[in-house]
Amino acid sequence: MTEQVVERRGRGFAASIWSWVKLISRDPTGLLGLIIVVAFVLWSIIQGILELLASYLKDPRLGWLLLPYNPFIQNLAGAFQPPSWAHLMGTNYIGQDILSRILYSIPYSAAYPAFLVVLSAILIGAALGISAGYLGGWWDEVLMRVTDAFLSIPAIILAIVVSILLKASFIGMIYSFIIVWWPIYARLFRAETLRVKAMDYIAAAQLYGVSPLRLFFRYLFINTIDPIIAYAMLDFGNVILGASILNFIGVGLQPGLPILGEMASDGVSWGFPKYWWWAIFPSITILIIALGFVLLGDRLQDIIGGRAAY
Amino acid sequence: MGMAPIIKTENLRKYYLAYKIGLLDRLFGKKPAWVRAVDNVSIEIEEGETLGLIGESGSGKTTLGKLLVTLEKPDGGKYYFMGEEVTEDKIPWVRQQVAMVFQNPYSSLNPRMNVKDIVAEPLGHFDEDKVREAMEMVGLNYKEHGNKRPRELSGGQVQRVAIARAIVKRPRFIVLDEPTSALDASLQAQVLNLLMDLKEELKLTYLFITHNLAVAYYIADRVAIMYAGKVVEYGDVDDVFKKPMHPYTQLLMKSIPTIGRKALEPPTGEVPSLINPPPGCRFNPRCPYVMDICREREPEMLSVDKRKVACWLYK
Amino acid sequence: MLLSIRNLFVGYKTVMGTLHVLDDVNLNVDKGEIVGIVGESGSGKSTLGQAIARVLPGNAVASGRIMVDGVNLLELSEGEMEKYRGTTVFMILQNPFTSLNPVKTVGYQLMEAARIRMVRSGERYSEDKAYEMAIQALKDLRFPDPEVIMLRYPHQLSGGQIQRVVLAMSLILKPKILIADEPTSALDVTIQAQVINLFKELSREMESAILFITHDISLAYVISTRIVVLYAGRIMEDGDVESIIREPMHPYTQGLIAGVPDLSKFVSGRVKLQSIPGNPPSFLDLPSGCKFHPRCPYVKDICKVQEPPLTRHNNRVIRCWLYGGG
Repeated sequence: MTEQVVERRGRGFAASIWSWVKLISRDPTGLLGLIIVVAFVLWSIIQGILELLASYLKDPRLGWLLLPYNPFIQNLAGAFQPPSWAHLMGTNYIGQDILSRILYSIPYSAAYPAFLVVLSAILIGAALGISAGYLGGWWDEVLMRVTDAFLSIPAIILAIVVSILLKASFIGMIYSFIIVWWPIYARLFRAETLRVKAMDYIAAAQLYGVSPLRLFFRYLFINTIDPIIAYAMLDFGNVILGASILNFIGVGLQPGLPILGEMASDGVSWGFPKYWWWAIFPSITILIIALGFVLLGDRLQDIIGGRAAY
Repeated sequence: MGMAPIIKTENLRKYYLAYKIGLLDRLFGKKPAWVRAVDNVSIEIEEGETLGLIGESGSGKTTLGKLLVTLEKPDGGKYYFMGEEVTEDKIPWVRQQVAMVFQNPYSSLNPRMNVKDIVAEPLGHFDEDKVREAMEMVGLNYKEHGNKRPRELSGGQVQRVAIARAIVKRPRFIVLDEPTSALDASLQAQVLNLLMDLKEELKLTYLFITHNLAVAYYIADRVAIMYAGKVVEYGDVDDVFKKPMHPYTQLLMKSIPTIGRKALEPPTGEVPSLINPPPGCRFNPRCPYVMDICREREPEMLSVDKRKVACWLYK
Repeated sequence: MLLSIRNLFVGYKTVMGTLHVLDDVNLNVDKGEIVGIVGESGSGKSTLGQAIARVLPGNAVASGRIMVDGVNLLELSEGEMEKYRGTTVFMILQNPFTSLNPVKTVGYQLMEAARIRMVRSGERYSEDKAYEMAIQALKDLRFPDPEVIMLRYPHQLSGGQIQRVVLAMSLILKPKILIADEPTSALDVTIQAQVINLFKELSREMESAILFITHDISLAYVISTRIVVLYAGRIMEDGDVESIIREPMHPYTQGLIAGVPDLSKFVSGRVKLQSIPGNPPSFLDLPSGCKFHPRCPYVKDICKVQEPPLTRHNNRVIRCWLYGGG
C-alpha cells in the first residue's frame, strides 16, 4: 500500500459501522454472509424478546406472533403434507407446520448456544491468555501445557464426553462446550498479548504507574481483541454446527421444544426418504446459518489481515 | 546549571539471557549464555544538562536509558538518583520524577485511547488544566487534537503528544530514546527545537539517546559514546567532536554522511557479539591502532584533561 | 538517454476514492548517473521506484510514459515485463530481512540471478559459470569467505550482509536501471557507510542508471551526481548535486537543507536549525495550486491558485512561480 497511512477520519460510530459494511460487501460471499448473519441475529433478538414478553405476560401466543402457524398445535388431519403454498416446508407426523417449528427453534437451537459459548470462551480465554502472555514465567508454562492437553483432543469428542458426564441437559451441553472452547481463545489472546507487550506504550504505562486493572482492560484487552473478533465470527458457525450435531445424537435437548438438530435426527430416523422434508429443511437451515458465519468470518479475517481486495 | 549530579551510576550492569532454558535443557546441563547489554557503565549527569548518549545498535544505549528510568532492573552496580541509591523500594519514588520519550511515535501511544487521555495518564486522574497546558506547550491544540486517536495525527504530531505526556507531571529527568529518528527531515528541527525550549522552560535534565552525531552535537552539552555495552569516550561535546580521542569515535565521525565531504571512511568489520565479546578491548578487531595489550586486557576509563577515554593509547 | 519518464501519474484506488499520488513526473536519467531522489515520507518517492519497476500494488493506476530503450514500460503486459525485471530494471529494498527468499541459500539465489543474466544475454546456462559469477560478485562485495556465504541462509546473515548480497545480485544482473529504495535506512551508521562505499564503487563498474531513493539529504549528497527533490508527489527541483546543495532555489529545498542536522553546519559552532512550519500534506487532502504553498515563506497569490509547471533555468529544473513559469 502507499507509504502514507490512509486514515479513516473519525466520523463516529455509525459511520464506521457503515464503512465496515461497505468493505465487507465488496466481496459477494462476504455480503451473503453478512446478510445471513444479520437476518439470523435480528430474528433471534426479535423472537427472543417476544418469548420474554410471552412468559412475562403469561401469554404464550406472543411466541408465535410472527410465525405462520402455532408450532405446537397438532392437526392430525393435515399431517404428512409435503411442501405446498399453505405449508411452505410441509407438515410433520402430527400435522405441525415445519417452517414455524424451524423459525421458533432458531434462537435457542443456534443463537443462544453460539453466543453463550463463544462469549464465555472469550472472557475466560482473555483472562487466562492475557495474564499468561503478560506475566510469563511459570503461570504461562502451566497455561500452555493445559491448553496443549485440551487442544490435542478433537473438540466434538471432548464435548460429547463431558456432556454425558454432566447430564444431557441443555445447560450441561453449554457448559461442556465452554470447557472445550476456551483453550483456543486463550492461545489467541496470549499470542496477541505477546505482540502488544513489546509495544512502547505498554512500557510507558508501566513507567507511569498505571494500575493493573486499568492496564488489563484499557491497554491489553482492547488492543488484543481485534483478530479474536474475526475468529469468533467464524467460531459462531462452529458452535452452531457442533451443538446441532450433539442435538442430532440426542444430547442437550429440551423436552417439549422443537430443536433443529433433533428435528433433523427424527426426520432421518423416521421420515427418510418418503417424507424427506422432515429431515432436509432443518438440516439446510443449520447449514445456511453456519455458512453465513463462515463467509462473514472469512471476509473479516481477510480485511483485518490486510489481504482484502478493494 | 546545578553542580550536583542528578544521576550517577557506578559499574552498572544489565545482562539478558540469550535464550530460554527449559526443564530439558537444565537436565542436559546447558549453560546459560548472557547478552551483556550494559557492562560496567559509570556515568554522571548533572542537573539541567543534556547528556547525549551516542551508539549504534547493540551498543546498549537503549538499555542504559531504560535502567535510568527503572524500566529495567540492574544486575550489578549501583544507581544513584538525586543522591539516593535506587533500591527496589525507591523505584516508585524515582518513577514519580522521570519520564521517557520513545523512538517510534506510533507504538508509544495506545492506539485505542484519545490524545487527552494519553497525556493525562501519568497524572493518575484526569486533570483538564494540566493536560491543556502540556498540549499547548508542545504546540498542540486541546480542542482540536484532544479527542483524536493517534492514527489520525501525523508523525510529528504524535511525537508531540508523547512529549506532552512526558512533561505533564513536571518530571526532573527525561530519557529521550531517538525521539527524532523516525521523523521526517523537515520535522526533526521542529521537534529538536521544541525539546530545547522545553528544557529551558521546565528546568529539565535530558538523557538524549541517538545514533546521529549531528543531532547529538546540536542538542547535547556532554556526550558519552557507547560501544558493545561499554562507554568508550565521555566528555564535553565540543571537545569530543573537535578532537575525538577514541578510535571508534574518530571512525564514527568519518562514517556520517556530511554535506561537503563526499568520502566516507568507516571502520571495517561488524558490530561484535554481545554474548561472546572479543577479549580485551571490545573494539580491538576493528581498531586501526590495535596493540597487543588491547587484545589481552580491557582498558580502564582514563581521565585526560576533562575527558574520559577507555583506550590503551592514552595510558 | 537510458531512462526517460514523461508525464507520469500514479494513483491508488481506495475505499475513499482515488488517491492522486504522483503527478507530472518528468525525469531523464542517463547511464552512469546516480540520481538521489530526496523526499520525506508521503512524498511518493517509493511509489516512483515501484512504478518504474512495475511492482505497484494491485489497486494502483498509472499513466504516462516510462521509456527504456524506446519501450514504454507502462504499456508492457505482465509477461513482457517479466523479461525486463532483473536485467533491465532491478530494485533494492529497504528492509533487508524481507529482500531474500528465506528458504533458499545465498548461493542458490545468486546463481539464479546468474542464470537469468545468461539466458537474457543469449548464452547457454552453465552451472559452473554461474557459480564463478556468484563467487566473484561476493568477492567484489568484500566478503572474506565467499564459499561459506554461498551456503548460508538469509536468516544467518546480518542486515548489512544481506544488503551486500543483494548488491552482489545486482552486480551479476547488471541491470540498465537500478533502483535503490532506502537501502541503508535499516542499517547502523558504520555499516551504512561500508555499504555506501561499496555501492559507489560498483556503480562505476555497472554503468547503470541509478535511482537512489532516500529521505536523508546528507546521504543523497554523498552518493549522488544529481538530486531530485520530491514533495507531495511532484518534482520540485532537479539539479546537479553540488550546486543544488550550495544554492537551492526552491523554497522547499531551502527549508529542507536549513533544517537538517548536518555536521557541516556546525563547523563554527552551533547554528539554530530552521524548521519548515506545518506538516507535509495528506494525499487525501492536497492543497490547491502549488502543493507547497501553505508552508512557503514566499507564497504569492498565484501560488494558491495555480500549480507551477516544471521549467528549466540553466542546469536546474524547478517548479516554482518565483522563477517565472512560462
